[in-house]
Amino acid sequence: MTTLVAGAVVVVLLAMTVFLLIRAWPAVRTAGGDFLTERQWFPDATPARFGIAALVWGTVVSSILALAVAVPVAVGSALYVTEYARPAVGRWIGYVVDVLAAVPSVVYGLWGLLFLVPRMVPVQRFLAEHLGFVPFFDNPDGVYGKSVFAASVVLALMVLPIVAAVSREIFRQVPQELREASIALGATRWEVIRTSVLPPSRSGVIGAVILGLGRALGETIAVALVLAATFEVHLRILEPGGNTIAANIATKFGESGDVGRSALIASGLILFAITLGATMFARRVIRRSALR
Amino acid sequence: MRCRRAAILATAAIVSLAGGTACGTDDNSARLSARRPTSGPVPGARDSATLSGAGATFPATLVQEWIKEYRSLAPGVTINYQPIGSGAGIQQLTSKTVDFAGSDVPLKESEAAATGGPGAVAQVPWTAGGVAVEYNLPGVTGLRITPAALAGIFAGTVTRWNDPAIKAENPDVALPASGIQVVHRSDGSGTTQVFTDYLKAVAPQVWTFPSGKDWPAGTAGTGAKGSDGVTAAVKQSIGAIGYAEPSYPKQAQLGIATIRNEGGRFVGPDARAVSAALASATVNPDGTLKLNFTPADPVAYPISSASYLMFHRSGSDPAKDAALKHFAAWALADGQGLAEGLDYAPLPEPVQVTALGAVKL
Amino acid sequence: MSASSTLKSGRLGHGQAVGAVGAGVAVTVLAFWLTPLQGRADFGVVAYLAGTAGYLLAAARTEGRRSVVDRLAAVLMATTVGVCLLALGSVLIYTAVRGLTSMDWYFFTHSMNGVGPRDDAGGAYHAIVGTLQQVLLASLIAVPSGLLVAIYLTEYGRGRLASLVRTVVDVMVGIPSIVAGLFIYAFWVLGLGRGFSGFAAAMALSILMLPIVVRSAEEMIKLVPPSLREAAYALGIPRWRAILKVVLPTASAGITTGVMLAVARVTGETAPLLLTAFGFDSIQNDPFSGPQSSLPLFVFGQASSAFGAAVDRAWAGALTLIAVVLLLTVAARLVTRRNRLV
Repeated sequence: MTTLVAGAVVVVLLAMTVFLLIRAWPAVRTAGGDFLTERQWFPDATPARFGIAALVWGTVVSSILALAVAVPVAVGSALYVTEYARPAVGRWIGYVVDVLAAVPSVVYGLWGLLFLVPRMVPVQRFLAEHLGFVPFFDNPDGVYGKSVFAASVVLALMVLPIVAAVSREIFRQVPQELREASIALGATRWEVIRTSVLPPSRSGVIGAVILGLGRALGETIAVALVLAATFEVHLRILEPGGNTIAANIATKFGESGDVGRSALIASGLILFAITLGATMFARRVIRRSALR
Repeated sequence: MRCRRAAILATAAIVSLAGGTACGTDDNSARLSARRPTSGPVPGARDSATLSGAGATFPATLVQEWIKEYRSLAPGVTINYQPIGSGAGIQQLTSKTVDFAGSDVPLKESEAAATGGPGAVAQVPWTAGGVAVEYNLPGVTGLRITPAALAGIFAGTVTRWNDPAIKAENPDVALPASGIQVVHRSDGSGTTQVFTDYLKAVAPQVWTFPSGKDWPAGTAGTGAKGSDGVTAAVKQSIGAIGYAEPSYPKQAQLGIATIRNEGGRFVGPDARAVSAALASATVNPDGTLKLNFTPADPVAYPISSASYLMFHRSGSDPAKDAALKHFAAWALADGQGLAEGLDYAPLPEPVQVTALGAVKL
Repeated sequence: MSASSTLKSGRLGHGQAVGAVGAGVAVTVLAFWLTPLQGRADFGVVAYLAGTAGYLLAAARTEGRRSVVDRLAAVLMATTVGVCLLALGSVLIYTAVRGLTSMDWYFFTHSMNGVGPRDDAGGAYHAIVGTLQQVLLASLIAVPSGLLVAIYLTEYGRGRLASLVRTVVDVMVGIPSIVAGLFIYAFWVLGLGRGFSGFAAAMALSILMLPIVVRSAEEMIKLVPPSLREAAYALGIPRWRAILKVVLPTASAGITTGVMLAVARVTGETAPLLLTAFGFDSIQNDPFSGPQSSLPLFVFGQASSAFGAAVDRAWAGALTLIAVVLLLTVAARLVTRRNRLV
């Protein structure tokens, strides 16, 4: 009987994929190549003009920024737990990270919108005024608030626990003999980490980072609450605006007609493919580093 | 042993949370203030049905009030209205996932065809209101804006508050030199349709974009979901401007601009002005209104619109059908008295009479 | 080797270190007093940096450059941990403070029936009922099937089908929650014309729960010592009986933990519920007909409206949600601690 159920699960997933592909096809056929490059979303208008360029851009930029903020903190705290802290302290930090992972994303979105965004306005202003020569941080209109930067910080909080937990496991798996060898040669604790812990863990940590990326890519609600939706592709992360594939599906599904729904499904499948690719790659990298 | 006890306690906490909430009620009347003494028994008093509706955020405040009042008159009827935007409401009605929809604009031809033909869905105007232009400039009240300036602001050609186009009409107001942050609807909205139709009608050289339920691409500004989302966004940024039904900016204590009408006067979206504007709208054969954005009446507010209740004429459930029609009939009669207090306008009488005919059982 | 790259013979004493940090903070106080620099947060950041600089300078003078790098690394690591604590503390404490002020018995026993966005009335009862029903239904779907799949993978599965099933489960872990919701919306709500319902939401949630249950059950069953199984077979017990009576009970603590963690994760999901349960303001006790609300939907809806009373309700709902999820997570961990396998 277990074989039946197991087989059924496979069949269901396959059927799901096939169903979604069939439903996604009309939109792709209507838009053609423009689906990847168009920067508007009017699938039910005549003529229908829609494309996921702005969405993919927003998804990728916010995820990468989130990683940029989260990875140093996550790796740092994982190293602290494995290399510096006493076992009891390390366990408690592990609990803190677990609780961070358990908080639902809608709560992060609410907190981000009502607590973080108003308090980040001075930070964003500081960045724009002092680093504004870099086009990334420029903000000519001088309006600060819900921006890709703010959304990325909220996303970073959600990505942090995964990267920290997996990195901690990776660092723990480094054989103690390597560390002891460095200590015997007179290295300080940081030098031990730098020479004996980090190099063998590199691929594992990369895997952890990509797992975090997968989490950030699929996040819907926190982003939908903190971003002010626009459909442009712009480099300026401190300006209001930006949109991700997931947030777009969540906000537009109700009012979409047939082509609109098909387009949303197509964008969802693309998101799924990107997330799946990242997660599979990450898992293979982690597995390989563990076997070494 | 300590852990075991803790585990049992935790489980007990969850179970008691689940059990303790087994006693809940839908009756919020203790905390809600009644706005009017309830009238006598209504035809729908003995109905028993659950109606789910969705659609425009524009009439949502009034519809919620109606639902609240009607509950005391017809306790067996549970009505729900999800304000998700006109576009979504029409879609959900087409897919028959809701029993009725609210929309600020009549069905387009393509939408009517999708619902099963031009007459399949009844479109009954059940309230009216003006589209208020809300702004966040502390200390500035009664900002006057001309149609051309308004079109320029939302098209992105007028970018600063102290632009001559705005300053000319407000000589004794201290307007800052900061940028205007435009907030528009990100969802498919009948309010957007009315607003863009207006801009296109009065300032076609400035507003060169298409009009429709979706805010056109190529203009500046950020999007927010729903009238409440736009209002919240405007409230959060000083120097922001947006458009929504007047009850929202009043609730958020934002300024409402006065717009110059055809007669040369600057008028705000109050009930009398909206009624005056709608008096010059033409009633189509199917009961919907064709709006006139340049009404001659000097007290009229030019950006006025009716809002429609939409439902399938041939409903599958006679009990739901009857309950809905009873509710609509009450809203169109006694319910109109609640409109003014919430910054909506009562329907002009001829429109009201036609509408009542459409919801007769 | 140059002198600067070896450790000097001095050691930075405790008193010296504290003194150095104090000097840095004192400089900051002076700076904020004399110059136009302002602000509590700014002061905190600058004081932290100045204190660290003082500490590192003292180390440089007594112990040499390598030590400075070592201590700087230690400070940075500790800072990251501090950031984690700060972030979590901020989220939990702020939610608790804002939520507790709007939580009362009324909130837990009333729905949002007839309440407008600006009315200070209404509560989350209908949302709590919805969440309980949807999560319960999802667990009823996902847990038995997940267990069966896990048993298949560990006890019976060899060869191609097993590795296919394992791949499929791996793929399912990566499904973005919105895509799971989109599938049920397109297939069940619209395709089959069944409309929004709590059951549709439960199906979407079970798609997300199943791989988690399978994974953790698989891990736990694998941990059962083979000697136990062999003892059962030696006594002539048929395979399915051995699994039911010997393997599963031994792994039960771990499996319970896995299930509770999966339930905790799924309770907080919002995105799939938007497309399947849709939301409803009144109490909907029948999860099979008509749209239903749920706690995450409630919080999301109130948060989007961002108006006075709605915001308070959103915080109260968020606190309730966090409390339920944390309770489940903590209880799950306690179950494991209570009954260790290895």
